[in-house]
Amino acid sequence: MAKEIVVIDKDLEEIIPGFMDNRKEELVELDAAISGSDFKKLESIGHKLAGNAGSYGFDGLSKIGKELEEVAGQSDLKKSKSCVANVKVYLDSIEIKYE
Amino acid sequence: MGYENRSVLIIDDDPELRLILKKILENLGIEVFEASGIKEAWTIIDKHPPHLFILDLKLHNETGFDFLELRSRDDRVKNIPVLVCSAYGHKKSISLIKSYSVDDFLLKPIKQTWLIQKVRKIFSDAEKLSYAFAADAKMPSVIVTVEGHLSQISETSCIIRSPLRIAKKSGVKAEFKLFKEEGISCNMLESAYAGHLMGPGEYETTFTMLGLTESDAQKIRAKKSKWNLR
Repeated sequence: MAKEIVVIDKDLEEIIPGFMDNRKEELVELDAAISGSDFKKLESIGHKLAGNAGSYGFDGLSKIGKELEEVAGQSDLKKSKSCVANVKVYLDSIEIKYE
Repeated sequence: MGYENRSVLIIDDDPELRLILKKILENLGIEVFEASGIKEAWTIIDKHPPHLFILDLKLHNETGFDFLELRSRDDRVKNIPVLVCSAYGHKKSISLIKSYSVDDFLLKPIKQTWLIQKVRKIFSDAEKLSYAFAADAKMPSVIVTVEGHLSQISETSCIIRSPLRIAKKSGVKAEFKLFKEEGISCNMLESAYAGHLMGPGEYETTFTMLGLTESDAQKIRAKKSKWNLR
């Protein structure tokens, strides 16, 4: 599958690995929240992703986060699961390019 | 443009967001301090009052409005500009923010270019000398020397064009060097109206000429054509 190129400002290169590590840890939390139907947690992580991912330059991830925040806020487990799956797909499908 | 002599205090409970904002601002040469909450912010303010606050509205167990309220009551910091960053752009929130004399607002996610633009504008505005006095305060003395030139003159008033914008309707006193040089004894002027914007960085202000003698009036009549004035 072709990777989606995400272009990030070279000046921010130093902090991107930390951001990506946080996302791996977050996936564990998301899976646990789905298993426990913890919509508050899902909503909170979605809100954080919506704000932070976009600020770091990952607009696609920000959109998924916003959707997760909305559907978790409505206690929709099916859509929340779908969003968490989309987060995994996104993280696996991107290639970061620094310019 | 570098900002090596400027500092910013970021108040946000999210360390990941503080990190990206810090990186962007440090790349501009700005010294950055961080606080996760209001108590921590005040500890930093006591040691290093910043030139700008970047404030999240949603903090852990408190809000950015709590900080704005405290800031409004502290003379040390009430005039330090604030850039509010929030995920919530409701009209009500923005009206409430404006009531605290916040300088600007950024909706999250915060794009690097927008942040830089907003910070540059706030610092640029802060560089303009500005004196604002409370309506009931005893007016302190402030002496400002600017270059200006005479646009119009009559026997009672004159209009001077300069980079100085006088927002007060009246009562600002001025001396005009040209009058002194030309031997006009009336060189004390008082603003009659607030200044008008004539062009980028240029204002015209009407002054009443105080203590004008008949001799001064004659000199003015004689010099008008020399000064190329109406």
